Amino acid sequence: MEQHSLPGARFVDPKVLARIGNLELLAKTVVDGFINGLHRSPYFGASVDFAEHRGYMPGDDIRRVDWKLYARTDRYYLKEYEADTNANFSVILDISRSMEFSSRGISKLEYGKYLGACLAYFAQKQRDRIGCVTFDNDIVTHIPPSAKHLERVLHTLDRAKAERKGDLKVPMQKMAEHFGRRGILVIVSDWYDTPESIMDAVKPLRFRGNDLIVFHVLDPSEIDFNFTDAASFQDLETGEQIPVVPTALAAQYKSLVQEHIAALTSRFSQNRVDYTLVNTATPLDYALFKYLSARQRLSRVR
Amino acid sequence: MAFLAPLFFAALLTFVIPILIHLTQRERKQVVEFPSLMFLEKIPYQSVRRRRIRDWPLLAMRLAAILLIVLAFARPFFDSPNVVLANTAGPREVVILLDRSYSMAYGDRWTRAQAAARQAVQGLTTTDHATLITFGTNAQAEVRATADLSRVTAAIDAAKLSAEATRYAPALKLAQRVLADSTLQTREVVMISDFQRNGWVRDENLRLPEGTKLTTVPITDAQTSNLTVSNVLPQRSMFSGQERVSVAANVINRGTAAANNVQVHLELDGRSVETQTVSVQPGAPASVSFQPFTLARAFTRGTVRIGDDALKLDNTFHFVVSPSQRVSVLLVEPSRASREASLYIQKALAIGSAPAFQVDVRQGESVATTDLDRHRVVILNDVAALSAGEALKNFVAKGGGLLVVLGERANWGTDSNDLLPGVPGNVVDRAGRGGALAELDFSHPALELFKAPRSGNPLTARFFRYRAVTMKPEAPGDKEGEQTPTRRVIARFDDGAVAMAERKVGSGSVLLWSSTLDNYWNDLALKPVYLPFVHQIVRHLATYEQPANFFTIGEVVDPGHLLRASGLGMQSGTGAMILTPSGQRIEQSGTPTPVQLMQPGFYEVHGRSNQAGTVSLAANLDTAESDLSMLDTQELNAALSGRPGTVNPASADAAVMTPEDQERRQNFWWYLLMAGIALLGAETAISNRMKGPVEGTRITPTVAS
Repeated sequence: MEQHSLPGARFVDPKVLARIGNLELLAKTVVDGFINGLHRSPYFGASVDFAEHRGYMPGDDIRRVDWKLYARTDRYYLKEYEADTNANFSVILDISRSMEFSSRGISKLEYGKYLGACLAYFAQKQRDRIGCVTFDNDIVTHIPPSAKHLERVLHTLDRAKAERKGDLKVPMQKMAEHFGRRGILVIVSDWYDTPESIMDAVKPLRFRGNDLIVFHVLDPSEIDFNFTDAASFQDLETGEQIPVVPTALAAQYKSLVQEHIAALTSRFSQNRVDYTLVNTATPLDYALFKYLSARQRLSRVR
Repeated sequence: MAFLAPLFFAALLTFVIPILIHLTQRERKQVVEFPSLMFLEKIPYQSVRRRRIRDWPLLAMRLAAILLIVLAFARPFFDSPNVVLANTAGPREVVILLDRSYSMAYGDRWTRAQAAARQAVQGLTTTDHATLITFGTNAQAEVRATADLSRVTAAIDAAKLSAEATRYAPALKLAQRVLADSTLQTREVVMISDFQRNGWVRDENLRLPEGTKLTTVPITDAQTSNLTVSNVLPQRSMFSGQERVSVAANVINRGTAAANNVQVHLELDGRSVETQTVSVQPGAPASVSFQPFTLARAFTRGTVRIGDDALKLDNTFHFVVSPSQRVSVLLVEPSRASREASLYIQKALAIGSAPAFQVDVRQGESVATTDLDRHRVVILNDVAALSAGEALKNFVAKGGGLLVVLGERANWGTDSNDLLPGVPGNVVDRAGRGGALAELDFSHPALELFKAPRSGNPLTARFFRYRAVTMKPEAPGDKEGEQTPTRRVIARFDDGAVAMAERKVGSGSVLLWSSTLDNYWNDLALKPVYLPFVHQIVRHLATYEQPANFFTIGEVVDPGHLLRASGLGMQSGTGAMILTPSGQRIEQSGTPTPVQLMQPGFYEVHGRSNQAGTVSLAANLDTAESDLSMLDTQELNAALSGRPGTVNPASADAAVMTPEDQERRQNFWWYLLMAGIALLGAETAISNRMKGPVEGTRITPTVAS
């Protein structure tokens, strides 16, 4: 277990989590400790808060008319609330071959699974309907959102294996067609594509009014490129090989990766998508904490 | 230091392998799986510095190991003077082989060869023994195992070129015998020759005695040019009832430069009749055809000649042509014979050109002596015993041929038994499908034509009648020699009865055929084999041979046979005189003995009997000798020693080494090989320690902490 500088937080090393095996227990361990540390959830807590009144429009359900206000003003008003507390919450996990990469004992896929499981557990605590989609170059499994689907989602995440080459466009298109009802979509991927292609793939989901939360999972060696020996680097998905002398390439590589991350950050924010870069070397609850803190700050701003 | 197998140095090219490995292999073999090459591919490839050699000490060790192993396989050896001198002590048995074939007449080769032989003699001491063997096709020991070196020098001075071709084997066998007889320990053969390739036949299985040193002294020229007339082909044709001959000659250019406008002359009986011009490419033949000439007389002498070059002897080619001979056959049939009795024989003999047959038919039971003298073969076709029995016997004894065909009327009785090989008996009637020939002696000249498979099968003929023949035992007076019987059954029927038998009488022979040669008693005349069968029998009885237009030097000819085959009627035992091209007379009394042709030109054979004439024959050089291409002396050396390249031919002073000495000089390769293997072992240990993971395996990425 590693100690981090953030006061009051208890963070769990992903490698320790990996030993737990059971995703439900893992999520409980992470989220419970997390909630205990923060005392309450900053985002999902108030689910039935009144927001505002608005004028009646023909076609509105008359059951939602505030009759008390009508009695006082002789006008029809409808009550609106801040949020829908039992929203659809779907974890969308990339299980392409590139997610299988690991340099520190825990792969990006495993990290993504833990992350997805924790978020699903969170949502369950919020009494949201939980669903799950895994994809590579097509949709592999699909669990529709339901209040009773936590176990199925965890089971699906647990069994997911990275076997095929990845692609964003086709599965995202299918998902956009599928998610008819607005909901919260959490996409966990390593986002290996050009920012333009990624945005083109993701935008259809956003157009449907879904609340998109994107996690960019990367291995520390993908970010820092701290290889030492010259070798042939083989693409996990295509099998292509190129000879690489890391010492000669590291600087340029890191620069390109940072450019990519910056571009994604910029493009996602422009499209009102929550983007979080997650390093698999960092503890899972720390990543969650960082994300939720940011989310809370943003919600206050809004 | 020198190397026995320097070709192994080609293996040094393998140096490239470790260098390439040290340059590139580690990058290529180690494979790191990476999620995506998206960013790496964007980096320009040129900026990747991968061509640098890693692990210099390991590379040096690997290269050194390869070098040592290659050196070991190249078999280094040392020319240790101590070893050589240790073996030069003591008297030597030296055999000098001096090539005197006619190719040594090229330029000044013969003078150089004699000088080299004298030099070899000068290198000998008074305790050494020397033998001089001169050789061409045959070998001759001029001086044998003598310590008197002046005799050897004199023999070298007296040696003369011959017209023979080169053959090394007889000379080497003679040398082998001289060395085997020698009691001296050190044996040496000095071979002075132009080492023509044609003179060596690999499978002659020659070995010089163990420890013999062969020193080859090639007498060659850097550039050779030689034109030769390799062959002459006289072709006959008939024109206005006269026989004409057109001569075609082959000219071969054995040199390396083209020969343009070469003049080729045709001479007949010493008179130049025509000249043609031809250009010959290097290493290629060219053909020259002369205008036909009328063949007026027998033994017309022809010569095809080209201009002089460095080797003049092969520029001339001699030949002899005579008008075609017709074999005269006297066919005797009974007085009242049917027209078909001799029809098949006559028709068969009317066909044929080599030789052509001239058939004269007589009827009756007697033959005039003058008739016999004008014919070479007599066929008695179903006639009874002739009254001129004694004349017939004389005719056969002088070399004539007699074919007796038995039929219905051929009742010879017992008085004829002096001539026939057996006694004709009663007629045997074979009922049904008849009999067949069953046992043929294909070794006999009359039947050897059918010996080969698919060359005609006389066994298919059916025989319905034949006369039983009882073979007579050999009479003491009949024997010409102890081993050769004069009576011989050549063919039998399937019931064992004699079908054909022969008796030798004097120089001629009598053939007895116990059935007819028409289609009355058998159907042989209707079979395809009939014509060659009759031709071959008559050719055998006439002792006919296709006259040779020329002979090659070294061939042996029988003067008596030549005279007989020429139709000069020579009697045995009358002797002959042979006149050689150089004018030398060889007198032979009694039965002539075979003579070997040793000089190029025209030989004359003169008979000694009353009816004798003169036979001319042409002798030419063996044109294979004109090819001056040289044998690899190393190959000869290896073949004679039984070991590849163990003797250094250039070192005339080198002494004979024992196998122990040779081994001592060459065993250095063991140390090199051991050192190379040790280096490889050390290299394996060091590289394993240095490299860690096995090359070529997939590795998990190593990350700097």
